[in-house]
Amino acid sequence: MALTPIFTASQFSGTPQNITLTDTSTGSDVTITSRRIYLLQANGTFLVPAGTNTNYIVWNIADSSIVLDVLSQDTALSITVQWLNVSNAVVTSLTQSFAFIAYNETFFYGLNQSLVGNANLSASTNWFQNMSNLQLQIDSAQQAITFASDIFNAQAALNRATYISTNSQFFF
Amino acid sequence: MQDPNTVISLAEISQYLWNAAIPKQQQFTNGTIDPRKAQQIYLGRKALQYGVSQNLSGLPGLTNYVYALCGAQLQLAEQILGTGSSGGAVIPGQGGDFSVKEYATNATENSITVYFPQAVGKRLVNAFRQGNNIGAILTSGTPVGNQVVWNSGAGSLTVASDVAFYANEFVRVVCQQ
Repeated sequence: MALTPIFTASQFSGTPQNITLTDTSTGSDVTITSRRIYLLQANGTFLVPAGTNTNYIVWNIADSSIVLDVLSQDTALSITVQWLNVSNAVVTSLTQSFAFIAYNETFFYGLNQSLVGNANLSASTNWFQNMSNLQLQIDSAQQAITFASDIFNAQAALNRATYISTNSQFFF
Repeated sequence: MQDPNTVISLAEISQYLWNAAIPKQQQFTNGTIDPRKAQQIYLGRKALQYGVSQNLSGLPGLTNYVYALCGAQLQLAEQILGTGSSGGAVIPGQGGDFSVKEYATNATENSITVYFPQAVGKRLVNAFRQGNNIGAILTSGTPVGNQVVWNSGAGSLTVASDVAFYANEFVRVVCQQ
């Protein structure tokens, strides 16, 4: 049975710099001997781990998952995984878009923990509106991906969210 | 501690309920306590969902906070969710058209049956004929005197043979749909 390419991507709050890709493809193809990953950013460049000299990342065919230490802030990516034969010709490939939002989501969770400790914080109009705006940007990024695979607008929203969270002393 | 996933569901319902209630409170009563209530619940619920998905610390406090945010809509939300002890199921009516409509035709001379195709399947409430009075309305058998027989399946009205219709006699029936 031919290979049907599928992969998932995940990110965790405690290690937001890491993306974990997992190959959940079905079927098989004996000609496939290697895999490559391309992490396309909204600015048109490819994201790679430090020390990588190519635009792509090699994903050992024997490994079902791979952890990529590539993020320094929330990022929208168009991820392409290619399954290659021994001549490095593409047998099949799959491209999916993702919004990795753990940095800002974790910060937002922290704001809510502040509210748990002092519910009166929300009585401040600025405090509450800035918190709402942060969630709005996160939601916008996710919707840009979900509805349109639009990493450009998703990244713009994530940049606005990141501005709020990294300059929190001015907003909260 | 409340179950965080249950509180997430309650918050989703409460958010909707507050969103519906706040405009009414502002219009018909003396304003509302907090016009941002639905928004607050949304923000708290989103954070709680992320905390649950990532198994973050501080979940019990946030769970109770979001639960409390539901406020006055909490009881109704619990009933809707099905975890409350009161409330019950509502059996909706069947709906449909139960109105009464009138149909009329002109009979053929010396005939004893007239037909109302639009009244097929309807229940006859009353009937009128120009040339005679109408007595009891039967649904089977043979009419005698002023009796008539209403055949719902055929939409027909039959009179006794000794009081047959005269030429172009106007006949009217009133049927329930």
